[in-house]
Amino acid sequence: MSLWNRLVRWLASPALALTIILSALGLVLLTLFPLQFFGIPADQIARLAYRSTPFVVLYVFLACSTVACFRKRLKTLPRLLSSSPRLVNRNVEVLIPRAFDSVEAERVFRKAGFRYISRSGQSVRATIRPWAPLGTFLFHGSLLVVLLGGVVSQLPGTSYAVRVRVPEGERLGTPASGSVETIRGDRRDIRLPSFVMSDLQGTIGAEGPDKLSVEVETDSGTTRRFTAGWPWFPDLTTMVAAEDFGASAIVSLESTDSATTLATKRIDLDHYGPQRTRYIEMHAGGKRYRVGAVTPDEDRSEALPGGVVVSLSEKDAGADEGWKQIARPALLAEGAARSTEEVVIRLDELKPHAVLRVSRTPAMPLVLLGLIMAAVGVLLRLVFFRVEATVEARGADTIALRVAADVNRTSGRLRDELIRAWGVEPHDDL
Amino acid sequence: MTTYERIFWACYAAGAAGTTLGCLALWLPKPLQRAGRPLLVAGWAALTAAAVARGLVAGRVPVIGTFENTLLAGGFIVLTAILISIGGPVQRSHHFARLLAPLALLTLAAGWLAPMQPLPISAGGRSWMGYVHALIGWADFAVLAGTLAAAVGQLRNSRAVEEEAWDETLARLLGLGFALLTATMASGSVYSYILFGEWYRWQVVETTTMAAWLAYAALLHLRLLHRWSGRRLAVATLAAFPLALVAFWIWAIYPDTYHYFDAALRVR
Repeated sequence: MSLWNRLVRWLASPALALTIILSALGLVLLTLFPLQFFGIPADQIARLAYRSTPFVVLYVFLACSTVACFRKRLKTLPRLLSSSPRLVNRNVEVLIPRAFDSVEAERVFRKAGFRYISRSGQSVRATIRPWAPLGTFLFHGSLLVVLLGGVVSQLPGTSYAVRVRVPEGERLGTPASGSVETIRGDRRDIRLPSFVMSDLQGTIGAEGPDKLSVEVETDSGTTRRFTAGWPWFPDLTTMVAAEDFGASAIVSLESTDSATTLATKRIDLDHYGPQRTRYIEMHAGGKRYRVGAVTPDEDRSEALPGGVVVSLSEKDAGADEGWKQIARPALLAEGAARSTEEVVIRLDELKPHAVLRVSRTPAMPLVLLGLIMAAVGVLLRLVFFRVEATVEARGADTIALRVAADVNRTSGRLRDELIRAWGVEPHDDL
Repeated sequence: MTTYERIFWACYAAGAAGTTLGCLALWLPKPLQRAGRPLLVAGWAALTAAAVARGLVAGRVPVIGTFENTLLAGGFIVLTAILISIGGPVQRSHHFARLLAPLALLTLAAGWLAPMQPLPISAGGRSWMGYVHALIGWADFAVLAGTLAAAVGQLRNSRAVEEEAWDETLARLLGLGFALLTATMASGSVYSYILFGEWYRWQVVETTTMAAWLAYAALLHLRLLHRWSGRRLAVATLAAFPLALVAFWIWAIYPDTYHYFDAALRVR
C-alpha cells in the first residue's frame, strides 16, 4: 500500500476521529475554560484560542479527518443505503413457530409502518427510512462548511462591525464621520448600506426599553422597520440592528446676562450605553467647567428624550483640587437655559438618535448552511433513523425474524410488536 | 398581587406538590405505586399552567432569570420522566421517574435562591429566536438527564435479559440528546448573531457547551464505531453528564456572561 493510501486510511480511521474529539475536549477544558475565570475578555480568549498552535493543529486535523472520512464513506454510500444496519448485539434473531408466507409477512410489515418491502425467494425484507444514513454525510459535511466559514471570516478586509449614531432625517454616516465607531475590522474596508432614518421609536422602561424600533427609507424608496431583536438584512452578508437610542445636543455656556457665548460643545448620550453619564469639559473665563449629562429615565412613560438631565461643576484652570458643583442635576429641555451665579448653561439642537450596529459577515451564508445541514443530519441519523426487518424461512414451520435499527442497536419494542403480529407472545425462549 | 400572579403561584404550588407526591408514591408498596404516574402527569400539567401564567404576568415567554428557567427545566424533566415510562418493561419500571422526579424538584428548589420577580427583557433580547433557543435547551437538558437515569439503570441492572433494553434506551436518549444539543447550539448561534453580530463568542456558556457537545460526540463515536454498549457505555455516559450540568447551569452563578439574567439587562 502506498504512503498516500496509508495516510488517507489513517485520516479516515475511527480511532483518529475519536482522538481528535477527545483532544479538542481536553484543550477546551484545560485551556479555554480556566482562562474564563481569570477575567480575560472573551474576545482576547478568542484570539488566544484561534491563534494558538494546539488549536490550529486541531483544526487542520479535524478538517483532514472529516474530508478523509467523507470521501471514504461517499464511495460506499449506495451500498450503505441498501444494506442492513450493523448490530451491536448479534443475538437478535428470533425463531417464530409459523410457516413462511411472504404475503402475510408483507401485511405484517406494512401494518407496523414499513413502506419499502422487497421479496426474494424465501425471505422478505422491509425498511423504514432507508435514506436516513444520509444524515451522517450531512452532519459531517456541515462541519466542513462551518470550518470553511471560519476560514472566510479570517480573511483580511472582509468582515467588520461598526456602531453608528443616526438622528432622524439624516443619512447613515460615513466611516470618516465622527458618528461611526468601529467595533471590529478595518475602517478602510467598511461599506455602509445607504438609507435615511425616517422614524425612531423608543420607550424607556425601568430596566430596559420596552420598545425600540427604527424605520428607514432606503435609496430605492422602500421603507424598512427593524429592531435589535428583528434586524434587517439588506443583503445576505450584512445585518443592521437597532442597539440603543439617545440624544445629542449642543451645550452652550453663556455670560450671566446671556449676551455672550463663552463656549459650546456637542454632547452625545446613549440611553443604555456602557457610559450612561457623559461629562464634557469646557473652558470659559479662566475656569474649567464640567457638564454632566444623562438621558432621563425616571418616568416609564417618557418617550424619546425631550430633554437632558444636566449638572454643572467648576474648578479653576490648573487647580488640583476637586470639582465644585454649581448646578445640581435637573432636566433641561431644548432651547431652555439654567442660570448659576457665574454662567448660564443652555441646551440647543436636541436631536434624538438611534444607535445602529452594522455588521458585515461574509461567512454568514456558509455558517447558516452548515447549521441547517447539521440540524437535518443529526435528526436523520439519530432521531428519525433507519429500521430494517427481515423474515426468512427456517424449515417448514419456522420463520426467523430479525429487526435492526440504525445507530447499531436493536429495536426490541418493534421486534416484540412484530412477534405479536404473528400471533405469538414474545418470551425469552424464542 | 394581580389575578395572573395568583394563578401562577397556585399552579406553581400545585405542580410542586403533584411532582412531590408522585415521586413519593413511586416508593410505596406496589398497589399504591400506580398513583405515581397520574400524580406526575398532574404535577407536570400544573407546572405548564404556571409557566403560561408567568408568561402572562411578565408579558413575554418566561425564559429570563434563574427562577423562570428552573420552572421550565423542572417541567421538561417531569415530562421526560412521563414520556420515557411509556414504553417497554424497562421503561415502564419506575426507575426513570424515581430518579428524574427528585431532580425536577431539586431544580425547582434552586429557583428559590434567585430573585422571583419577573425581570424585564431588553429590546435586543426580545427575539423569537431567543425563546426557541431556551425551550430547545431545556428540553435537551431533560433528555440528557434521562441518559443519566438510563446509565444508572444499566449499572444497577442484574438481569441479563434486560441489558439489551437498557442499552437501547440509553442509545436512543444519547442520540436524541446530542441532536437537541446540536439544535441548542445552532439556535444559540443564530440568536447570538442577531444580538451581537457574532456567531460564536468565547464566553463561558458557549465554551462549556462546546465541551459537553464534544463529550457526547465522543460517546456516540464510541457507540457507533467502536461498538461500546452495556456497562461500558453507561459508565462513559455518567462521566459526560457533569459537563452537561455545568454547561446548562453555570450561567446562573457566573456573572461574566451575557447569559447571566439575574441583573439589569442592557442591549449590549
